[in-house]
Amino acid sequence: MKAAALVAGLWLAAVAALDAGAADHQVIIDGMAFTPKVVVARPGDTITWVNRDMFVHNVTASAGGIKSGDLQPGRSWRQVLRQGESFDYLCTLHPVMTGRVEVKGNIRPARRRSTS
Amino acid sequence: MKKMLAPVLIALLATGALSTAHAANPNDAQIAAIVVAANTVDIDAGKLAESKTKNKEVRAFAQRMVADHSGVNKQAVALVQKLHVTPEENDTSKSLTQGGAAARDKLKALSGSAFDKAYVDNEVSYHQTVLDAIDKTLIPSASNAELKALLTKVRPAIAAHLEHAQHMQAQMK
Repeated sequence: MKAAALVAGLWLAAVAALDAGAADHQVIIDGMAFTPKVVVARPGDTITWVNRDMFVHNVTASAGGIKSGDLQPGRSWRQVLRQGESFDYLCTLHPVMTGRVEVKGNIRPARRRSTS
Repeated sequence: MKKMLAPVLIALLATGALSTAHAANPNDAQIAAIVVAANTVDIDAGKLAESKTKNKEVRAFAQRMVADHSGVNKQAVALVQKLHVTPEENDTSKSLTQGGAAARDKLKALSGSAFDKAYVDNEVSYHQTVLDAIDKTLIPSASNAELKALLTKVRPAIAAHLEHAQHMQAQMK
């Protein structure tokens, strides 16, 4: 019975992984740093930067229209990644704060309705 | 010679004021006064720089110092009100305020690139000294957990400001 439940659980997990579609990533801005510093994602994925610091920050890159504008403490900003859009970014208010987004591979399979 | 001497004096004033904090073991009310004094010194220096500099990068840095240190002071004041602590002036907070005023007087006498260099040199010394005081005196001495947490939260900002100022200092050489 337990084995059957385990197999069913694994099956559901596998289906969920296949059907995940575009993934959401989160970058926390806190302690004058972007964490994680490097995000590896696929085209179509979304990255949300969340400012949990006590200071205003921004997310700015010279390429790809990455320009969040000022993010007050508690605010966040989302960006959907395009194909081949790897970029380095920084907070222009605190230029020692830097990060990178590595966009690799192809768009994930579209989300499908599970029949199980 | 005077131009060479000014930044050195400013740095010494800033360093001397906070180095006394290393020897002392301030209580929370005294720490609160030191935090407010230290931030106010850099806010005032930043406002002076905003009004005097013609260098775009120095102006942006000065504006950031005013904004960030004002933010810290706002949080510090909110915390002491919440904790019903009255900031207690002490030798360190007083000498910080006096040293800040003396440093501004020195800066006021300068202009152009001499001002920019002296201001940035002062910012490097100031943030290095504040960072040392946070690590060696303020965080270890703070007894209230929320005050300790605020100091811990502020530390990366001081380190980032220091790194930013050092970068500008290196570019000016």
